[in-house]
Amino acid sequence: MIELVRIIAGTLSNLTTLNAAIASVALDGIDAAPPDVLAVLNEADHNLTFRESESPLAPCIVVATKSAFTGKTSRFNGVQDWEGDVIVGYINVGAIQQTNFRDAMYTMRAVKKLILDTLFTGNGQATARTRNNVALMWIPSMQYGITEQNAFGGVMTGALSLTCTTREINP
Amino acid sequence: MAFGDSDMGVFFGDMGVVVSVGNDVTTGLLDANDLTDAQAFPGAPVRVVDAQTVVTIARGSLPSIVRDGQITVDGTVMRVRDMQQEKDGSLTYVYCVADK
Repeated sequence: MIELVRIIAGTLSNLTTLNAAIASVALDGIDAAPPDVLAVLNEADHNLTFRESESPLAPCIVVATKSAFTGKTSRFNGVQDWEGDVIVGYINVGAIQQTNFRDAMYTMRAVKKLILDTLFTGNGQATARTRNNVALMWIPSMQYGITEQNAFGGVMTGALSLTCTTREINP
Repeated sequence: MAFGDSDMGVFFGDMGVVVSVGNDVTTGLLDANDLTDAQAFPGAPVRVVDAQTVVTIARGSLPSIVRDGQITVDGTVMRVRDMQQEKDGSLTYVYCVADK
């Protein structure tokens, strides 16, 4: 759902705010702070191919749909509700696997907090959660910290998977 | 005449590149390929392509090699991700990543 991708990516698009959030994450004393994120990309506006050999911007955040959105065919009182998954992914390049893992986990924690703070904390966030008559109603569940690093490459990925319920108005 | 370990030097000599760890120096066969990581974001339209670098060396030819340690392959400083014995154990595949 294009609106949802852009709503969530929009919460992360100010790199100064995002990197301040990353810098504020509590760390174990022996760990270094993760590096600043250099780009926030999304499925609606960017090519999401990340090729290590091309020296891409890293680390970066990617926002994309992970599943089709499902909803009832009927419309009720002028609205139609949908549910589906969006991933907020972290991609970094580094030689040391355990360092990559730490950076991914700490960064994803900051990303999760920033999304929830921006969209769901206090009053007045309804506008931030709405685009083109599609509103992000709530995120009933999420998966935090899915990581993957191929044994034969230097790219680490981490993901925050958000199950989102959206409401389309006047569908 | 059977092909044996003693013949490996011909291949390394003809097609090999210089590989070193500290003061240990040998020659090895370099393979560098792009490798799509299908497990990176399953189900999402995000394509992650790793740079896969594998150097094949004669087993024991770099005694000081360790995982996560530095290695120089054809003039490029890299890190050792892992090592794997291959064939009858006479060869070692060294998986390397850019030293970033």
